[in-house]
Amino acid sequence: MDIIKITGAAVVLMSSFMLGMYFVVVNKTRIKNLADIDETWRTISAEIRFQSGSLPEIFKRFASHEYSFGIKALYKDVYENMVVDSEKAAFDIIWRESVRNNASKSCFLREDEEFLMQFGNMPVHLDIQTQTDFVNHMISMLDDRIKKAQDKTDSQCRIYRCMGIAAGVFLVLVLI
Amino acid sequence: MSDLKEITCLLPERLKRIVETEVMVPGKNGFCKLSEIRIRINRPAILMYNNNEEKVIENIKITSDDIAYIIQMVTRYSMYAYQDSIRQGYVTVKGGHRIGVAGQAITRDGHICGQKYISYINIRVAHEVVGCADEIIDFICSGGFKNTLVVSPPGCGKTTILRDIIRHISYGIGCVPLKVAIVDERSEIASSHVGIPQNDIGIRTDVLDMGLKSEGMIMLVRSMSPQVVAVDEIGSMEDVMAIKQIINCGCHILASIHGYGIADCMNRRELAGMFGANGFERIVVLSDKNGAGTIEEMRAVKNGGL
Repeated sequence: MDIIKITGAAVVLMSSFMLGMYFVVVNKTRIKNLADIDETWRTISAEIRFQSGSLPEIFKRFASHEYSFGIKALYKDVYENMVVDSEKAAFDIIWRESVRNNASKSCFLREDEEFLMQFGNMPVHLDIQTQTDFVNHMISMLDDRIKKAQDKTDSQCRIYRCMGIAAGVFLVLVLI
Repeated sequence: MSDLKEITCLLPERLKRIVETEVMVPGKNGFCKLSEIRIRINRPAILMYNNNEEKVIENIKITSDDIAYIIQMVTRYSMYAYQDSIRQGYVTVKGGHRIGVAGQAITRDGHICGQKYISYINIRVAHEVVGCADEIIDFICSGGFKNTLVVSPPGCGKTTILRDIIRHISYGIGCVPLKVAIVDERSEIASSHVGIPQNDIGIRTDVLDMGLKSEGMIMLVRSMSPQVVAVDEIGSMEDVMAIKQIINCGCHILASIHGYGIADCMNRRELAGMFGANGFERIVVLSDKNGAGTIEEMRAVKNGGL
């Protein structure tokens, strides 16, 4: 009987610790995903400034780059919708649709998803200055978002771990 | 060979349907006669035909979203990559069609360096007329290629006939095949889109797209060793100096110029001394008397006289 209790307690402790760890990993992955987006937007800003390749070519490059799976999937989707031969849509529609379809492949929150969709408002039909201003504005907002997420994660990581273990210990005590 | 899809894929859905209906319905002016689609913000679109007829599409008022969509399609969502073209006022798309744009000019140091808020678009439909130079090829190629100047007022088919002459001499149709180099300053001859010529300019032709004529001619003589250098719409002293230089290098020249006849050209100060053995030996004058590309006159020039 004691062996069962001890085993049960160990399992409860372990699973509560794992749950705490899960939240930590989700938060960190979210930050990694946002950082990947940040890097791609910085690249786009530079490419626009130096009038390099076209947007579809840039997105194709992102799709084969070593970014997170969800980010690669997002850019692959955008690229494919941009180069399809018939019934092309405007950039804002393509971008929003792709974010909506691929958000579940990353660890974005609902509010991140809505924020990412705003990138679709990029004035791709206007001059370089207006476009780079827009992208840089989006980058600065994204940086703020990453910083907040980072601070939140740092403070919450310990809490998640401690709470997980504490909840486990409490359950063990109840069980024993 | 251009087709309707190359044009309609640039248009928003509602406009696309109307254009397709207008140019595809039997009994109406067909695609082969369509010359321009005029798009102006807050105004109806207008289809213009070669026979000077036009069709105002009254039931569609162009919005800023329509213009933004067309610009996105024309520039492949990358207006920034087309800044040089936009500054010059047009973009060449697949099929060789030329999209003229006008909006708010961006100026720097008193010069136009770009445009934004584009509100006016002119889609000029390219129609390659293969074979239009058939009847002049003997005149300019018998006994070897002769330096040739094609003269005509605007809109009379100078570029079209120049392109067909290039096609003939590059393939060797009705003459000995020659290596041709084109300085296509305004992308009108080869109509290159992302570096690929959209018109048939032959198998022995190299193109410097969007390069300055005077510099481009010298550059191509050095880099591509052509036998004939072709340029459209010469006129400046720099162009003429470059032509003299390439003739001295042993290359032949095929050029066009705005003008209203042989006398008009020969009296121009910048063209002084450019006719005869060390200059243009053949002059072809075009008009639109019987439609664009009507050959008005063909003259051989010898030692400065006709």
